[in-house]
Formats: sequence, structure tokens, C-alpha cells
Amino acid sequence: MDFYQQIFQYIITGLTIGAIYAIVAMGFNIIHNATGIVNFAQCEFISLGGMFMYSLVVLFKVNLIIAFFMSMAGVSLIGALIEIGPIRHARSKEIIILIFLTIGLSEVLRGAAQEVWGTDNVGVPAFSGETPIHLPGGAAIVPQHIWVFAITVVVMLMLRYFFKKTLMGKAMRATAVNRRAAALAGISVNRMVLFSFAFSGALGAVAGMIIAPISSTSYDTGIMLGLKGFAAAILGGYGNFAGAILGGIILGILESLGAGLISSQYKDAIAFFVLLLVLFLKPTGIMGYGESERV
Amino acid sequence: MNEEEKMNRRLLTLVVMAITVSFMIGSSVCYSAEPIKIAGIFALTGRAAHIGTAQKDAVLLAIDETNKQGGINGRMLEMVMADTESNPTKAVMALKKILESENVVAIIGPTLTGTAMAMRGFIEKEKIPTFMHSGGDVILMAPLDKKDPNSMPKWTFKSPYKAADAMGKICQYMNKHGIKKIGFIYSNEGFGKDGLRNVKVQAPKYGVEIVAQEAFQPKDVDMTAQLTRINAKGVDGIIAWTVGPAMGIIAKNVKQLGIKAPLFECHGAGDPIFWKVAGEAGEGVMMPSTKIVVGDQLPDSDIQKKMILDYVKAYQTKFNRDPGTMVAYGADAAFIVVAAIKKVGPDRAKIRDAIENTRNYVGISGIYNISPQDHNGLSMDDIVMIQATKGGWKLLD
Amino acid sequence: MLKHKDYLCFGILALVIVAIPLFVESKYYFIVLNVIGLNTLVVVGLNLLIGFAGQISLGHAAFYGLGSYFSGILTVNYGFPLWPAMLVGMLATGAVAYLIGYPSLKLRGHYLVMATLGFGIIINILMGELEQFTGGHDGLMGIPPLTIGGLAFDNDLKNFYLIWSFVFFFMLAARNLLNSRVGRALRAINGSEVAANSLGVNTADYKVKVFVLSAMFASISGSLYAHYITFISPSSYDFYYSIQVVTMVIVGGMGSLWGSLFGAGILTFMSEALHVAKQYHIIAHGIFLCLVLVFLPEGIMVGIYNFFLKRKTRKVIN
Repeated sequence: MDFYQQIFQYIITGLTIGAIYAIVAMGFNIIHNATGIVNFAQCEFISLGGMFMYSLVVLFKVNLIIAFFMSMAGVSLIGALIEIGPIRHARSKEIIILIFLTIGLSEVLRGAAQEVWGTDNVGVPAFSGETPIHLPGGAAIVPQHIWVFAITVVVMLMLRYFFKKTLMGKAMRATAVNRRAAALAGISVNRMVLFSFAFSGALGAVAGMIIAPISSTSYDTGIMLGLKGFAAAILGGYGNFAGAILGGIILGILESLGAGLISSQYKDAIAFFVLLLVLFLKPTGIMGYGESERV
Repeated sequence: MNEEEKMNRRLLTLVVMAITVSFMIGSSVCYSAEPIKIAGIFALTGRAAHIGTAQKDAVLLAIDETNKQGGINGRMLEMVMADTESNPTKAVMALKKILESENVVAIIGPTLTGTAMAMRGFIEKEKIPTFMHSGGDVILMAPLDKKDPNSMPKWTFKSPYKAADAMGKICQYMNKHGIKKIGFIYSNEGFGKDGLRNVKVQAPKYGVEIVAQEAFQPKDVDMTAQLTRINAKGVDGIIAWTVGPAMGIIAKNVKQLGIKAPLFECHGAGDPIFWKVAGEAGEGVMMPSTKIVVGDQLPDSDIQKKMILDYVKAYQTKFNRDPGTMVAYGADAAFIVVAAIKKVGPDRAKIRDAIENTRNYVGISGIYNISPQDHNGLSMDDIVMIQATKGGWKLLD
Repeated sequence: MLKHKDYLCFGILALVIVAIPLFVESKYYFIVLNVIGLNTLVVVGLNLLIGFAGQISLGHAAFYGLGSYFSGILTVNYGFPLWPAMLVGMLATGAVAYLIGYPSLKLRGHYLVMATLGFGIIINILMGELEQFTGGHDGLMGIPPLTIGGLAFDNDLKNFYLIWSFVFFFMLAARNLLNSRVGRALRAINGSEVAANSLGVNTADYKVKVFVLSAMFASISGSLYAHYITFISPSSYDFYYSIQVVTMVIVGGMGSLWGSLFGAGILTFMSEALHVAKQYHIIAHGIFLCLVLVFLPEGIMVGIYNFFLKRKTRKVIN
């Protein structure tokens, strides 16, 4: 493999993992837009998505497609329950308190997952086999990578359609811009927040499910992916959807190129270092707008 | 806030305080000792939880089997467990807690080398015989006091064979089969880096040259970049040194990239979990291992065969799954300690001496010849090379 | 300068510190108390940043670790004298905090969260990679215990006195700081940065300084840890630890100095005590956290205080 073929491979790999980060980032963005907080339970949504898929497909032999949607629904439900219960009833609406509440909830979910599934990693079958596909240009991928790209694109298009064209989507955007005005316009803010958590759950589950056949899954796979998804969201501009995609892709490719060209030991350090540099130069992320505060 | 809400809040504060207080009381209750107690300190939660729980199971089974056969002179064995949470500070706290509240005669564990190193100093000070099943050679090799290179641990023993020997076994096999240039990819933490140090020493001994070396983070989901770099250097073989999901990911990546060079993994890969994470891509991967996973393929003349088959059967019956290679370490740690207690009774110093003089002990991981100079007692002869095939393992010669 | 109630509180603390060894014999309880003390030291500093100046840091494990590693490396590899090594470590950590803090604290909200998370991870990676100095992932061992004159702090009891003396003095220092002009400036920044700026408080300057100060608190604690356990490794300084200490700040009560002590105490204790629940201890710990955050978000200190206060009020009304 010559040098350019290697670079091509790195880029393809980077795009794949970047797509996952992008989906996770979008989940973070939805909740940020609706509530202003960071939902660290997103990490568990990812793990649970993969684990539900494992249970349904491997243990209960459910059809792959049905299992996919069932899993999404299941994690959505969990997201909704988190919101309806602890988060809505938290006595303080201070952001830092709510963020740490999501951290506490994430612990509860992780502990429960450990109880149910144990600590082992488990494999999930690939959606359409594992025969390598050799691309012109010298790189190789497996069919699951194509699924990752395809599903990411579908998700992005659906989200875009949802937020731009449907009434509910517009209502959610309105809530994100100004809760009070939205409430005055007759939008049920509580319901919008509930949906945002449910959505976020679904997105996390999707991310967990499409990567599970590639990397196997366990009760805590989501932590690293969640962290990097958050980094991608911030990199692209927190709350901005195009930013999520951009951030995800850039982070994925940076990691891959960093590992391939510079040093595989320092790969994460390089990626985070670049992230910090970007933040120092543009404090609101690549595509973020300034956050205005009431004084 | 209305009356009712105030009341609820108050009640809840009371409940929280009550729970806190009752835990404070509960955790200071001591148990009285009648059975012989051994402490089991494992990583039951945290990043090494899957290894720790597997080893805990192995040790518990060994103790169960001993109790079924009448215990030790009529007294039952009881294992008191603690969780290191895969964290060195917590490991030390767990150690102290057990030493305080229980009258244990020996300790088995811990799981991770980092926790083992943190506990080692206190174990030597407390003078309690401890049989570890963590993998790091440094546990026995590093002197207790940096200034005195001869200050070797006296109370610490270790059941897994030296990682250096496992690496040597791979290189020996490579030499026999004409593999001359290799790439080494490792997990960027203690275990993987230990492997890097070992391969740099072992490979030249067997005429193998390392032409590429790459690292990855333990939680990474894709290693194609690193493998692409390795493959570009034209290697005849690849060694991947890691445990956990990465074992499978690397196997899959190798197949994905169409790399023809054979893949070797570490001595922890011989475990059902390998097949779970690698799937079909695991076919053909080779690794060093204890004999526990190929018990039925051993020649009848092998003195370990019967013991291995018996233990495997008990394991399968109790846990409904096959044991992996690392189960052997936990089992041996337990059996050797039990054998020592049987010989000299529940006295810490005597148990230590008895363990130190365990010669020609037929264990599951191998034949143990423990001595004051060697607190491990295994050699390269106890290791076998196996190949992953059709969801199981094949003994290679 | 201290107020009257401060004298009372610190007096009680001093009394408790001296008295505990008379009642407690178990080495296990001492090590728990010592870890509580170490955590308190970090949490007090962090509270200055979070509770009083209103900033956030999810990367403080890095400063705790830098303290440990500077002390460890200087004393083990270079034979530095012990106390100067701790001082050098504190200053070096402060310098690192300044370099990171200066650009970071211009960030707001979640961007600051990510920046602190990011540098915490970078420093943790470096701890494992710079093997020549740090011993890599195998860790650094053989760190000598601290000594004063001929007395070596080499067991749990002696370290109890050492660690808690530090806690006492640093809390006193923090109290003094908070009662001074600086403290008022910090509170102003917390209330409204814009307003504080318009009143002539140099907010950027204060924010960085308090960040550096909190890093130095953490560094001292890290050094004490290194000399106590005599072995350190990168796995103790990951982002889980960073999250733990911020949780202690919140549970104890942001902006409450004594809350820091109780937050560190309760959470460290709970974490150990919950082992009674065996493998459910993670769920139990998570549930406890959620309960506190949902129902007592001002922190346990204030929550308990309000509990008794409300009772008094009702009595008066009735």
C-alpha cells in the first residue's frame, strides 16, 4: 500500500467513526437546545442501544429490522422516563445541578445494565455480513461501514425535515430560542422537553446499534463515544446541527490521521489538543453563535 | 412551596440521613470467625470488571469444590470478598478494611497490576500471604525498595506465568514456521506496554525482527489506521497485545483490510469472549494459552489432563459456559493456598512458608515449582500455542 | 479576619481532629478519614472556583495528579528533599494552571466544561506516556513518606494528623480569603460577571487567579497522597475523579466552605459504606446522588440547615 492509499484508508476510517460522533453530537444538541444542559446520560443511551440490540437479536432471535426499531423505542422510553421523573422534578433548575443529575442517572443506568447483562463484551451480528469491500484507491471497508454512512445520512435528512417542515419540529425550535415566548404562543414547553429527551434517546440508541457490529458492545461502551460525541458537538458549535456533522467528521478524521501519521499513542491527546486550540481561537466552536446572557 | 411539599422534603431528608447512619453502623459490624476465612479482592466494578468477575467465579468454584470434599479438617472455607473498583486507592482501602474486620489467613487477588502494585507494600508490611492473579511481571520483579535491588517481596505470589514467557512462546513458534518480520500493535496501557517491552527482548532471541510498532487506546473502536501502517511495511506476521473488545476489533480489521499475514494475540485471548467480540473474523488467530481450553485435546499421558477436565466440567455445570484461559490462574491461586492451609493449618506465616515450598504441584496453568527465588513457579513449558477455529480452540504443536 | 461563628466552627474542628484518634482504633477507618481529608483539601479549593466564582472545572484530577507526580518524581528520581519538592510541585502546578486557565476562562458555559475535560484528559495521557519520568502506566513506586525532624509520617495514624492539619490550615486560609475583599469580589463575579465588571472588578484576572489557587490546593493534596500511599499511577487521576470532586462540591453545597468538608466526607464515606450492597453499590451510589440533587440541590449542609430552620419557623408561627 503506498502512501496515498494509506491516507485514503485513514480518511475512510475517520469518516466512519466521525459519522458516529456526529449522531451522538446531535443527541447532545437536541437536549441542549431544549433545556440548556449537557445530558451525560447520553453515554448510557448509546450502550443501552447496543445491548438491547444484542438481547433482541442474539438472545431472542428477533428480526434485525424489527429489533432495530424496538431498541430505538426502548431507549427513547428510558430517555422520556428520565425527564418526566427526576429531571422535571428537580427542585433546582440550575444548569450545573441538572448536569450532575444526568451524571447520577447515568450511574444508575450503568449499574442496572451491569446487573442485567454482566460486564462482558458481546457481539452483535453485522447488518449485512462482514465480507470486506475493496474500494478503488486502495482502501477497504466492510458492509457495516456503508450502513453507518447510510443511516447517518438518513438520520440527518430526517432531522432536517423534522425541524424545518413539521409543526412539532418548529415548536421545538421555538422552545429552544425562547421558552417563555413559546409558552405564550401555546406550546407546551414540558412536552417539548420530554420529546427532546426521547429523541436524544433514540439517536443515542442508533449510534450504539450501528457501531456495535464493528466494535462489540457492553454495559459501558458508550462512555468514550459519548465523551467524544460531546467534544464533536462543542467543536462544531454547541447546539448547531450542521456543526454537529462538521464537528463529528473533523474529530473522526483528526483522530484517524493523528494515529496514522503522527503517533498512535498520542492520538487522543492530539485530537483534544486541536479541540482546545479551536476553542481558544473561536470560543463558541466552529459554527456556533455567541451565547447572549441577560444581565 | 406548600405544606405538603415541605413535609415531603423533610421526610426525605430524614430518610437520607437514616440511610446514611444505618450504613455507617452496618459497615462496622464485625463477623465472628469459625470457618477458615480467605480474602478475595477482585475488580468487580470499573474497567476491569469483566476479568475480575470471571476470576472471582473461578476462585469461588475452587473453594466450593474444596468444601464439597469436606473442607479443611472439617472446617469449611469461607471467602470474604472485596471490590477494588479497578482503582489503586480503593484497592488499598479494601485491603485495609478486610484486614481490620475479618480474620483472614490469606488473600487471593487482585485483578489489575496497578492495584496489585499499590497493595504490595501494605501486604508485605502486614505479613499476610497473598496469591495474586494479575498479569504484570513487575509484581514479582520490581524490588520493594528502589535503593535495594535485592528487596524482593516475601509474602506476594503470583499464579499467571510470566508474560515474557508467553511472548517467548509466540516468537519460538514464529521461528519454527519461518516468520521473520513482524508488526507489533498494543493497547496503550500497562498490559500492552509491558508486552512491548517483552517483545523487544524476546523477538531477537528467536530471530524475529520487529519492523513496525503501533499503539491504540483500550476503548478505541477501529484500528485500521495502525494496521494499514503495519501492513505497508511488508510483515510476515502481526502480534496484537491487548485484552477486551480490542482483541476482536483487531481481528476484524485484519480481515477487512485483506491482510494475509497471520495474526497472533496475547495469552488472555483464549476465552469465549474472544469469539463474541471477533465473530467469524476470529478464525485462524493464534495465541499462547494455558491448557484449560484444550483439555480434551491433551494426550492422555499429560498429568494435568484429569485435573483440568474435572475442573472444566464443574465450571461448565455451575456457570453454564466454558472457562477461558485466565480462569486457570484464579483456580490455581485458590488451590495452592488451600493446599498450603491443609498442610500447616490457619497460620499466616506457616502458610507463606508452605506456599513458598510448593514443588511439582500439578495445577491447571501448569506444574508449579515455587521457591524463595521464584514466587511464580511456572515456565515456558507450561504454555501451549492454540489456534481459534470454528468457535473453539485447536491445540497446535 | 474571622467572624465569631468561624472561631466556634474551627475550634470544634480542631477538637474533633485531636479527639478522633482517642476513639477510633481501626486502621481502616483511619485510611477512610485520610482519604476524606485529601478529598476535602481538593474540594475546598474547587469550591472557591465553582461555588464562589461561579466557574466550572471537570479536569481537576489533572492538578491533583500533577501534585502527586511532581512530588513523586522529584523525590524518587532526583532525590529532592521532601518539603521543597511539595512546594515546587505546588508552584509548578500553579504555573500549568495559569497557562491553561488564562485562555480557558474566556470560555463560557459548556465550552468551559469541554475545555477543562479536554486538558484533564491530555494531562492524564501524558502521565502514562512520559515513561522516563513518570514510570508510565506501571506507576511510580517507592515514594518516601514525609518527615519532620526524625519523625516519619509512615502509618495511617500519623498521616491522619498530618493530612488533617493541612486541611485545618487551608480551610482557615480559605475562610480568611472569603471574608476579605477578594472573597467579596468573587461573590460579585458569581452574581453577575457583567455587573462586577462594570463596578471595576477585574473579572478575567480574578477568575484566573482563583483557578490557579484551586489548582494549588489540589496539588498539595496530591503531594500528601503520594507520600502517604507511596505508590501512584495514572489510573487514579482520570476524569472519573474530576467528576467525583465536583460532585462533592455540589452535594456539600456550592458556596459553603463547611459544605465542602461534609460533601467530601459524606460521598467518600458513602462510596465505601455502600460496598455492603455488594455489586449493587454503583446503582445505590447513583440513586443516592440523584436523590440529593433532586431534593437537596443546595447541598446537604444547607438542606439540613433549612430543615431545622423551617421547623423553628413553624413553631414560631404556631
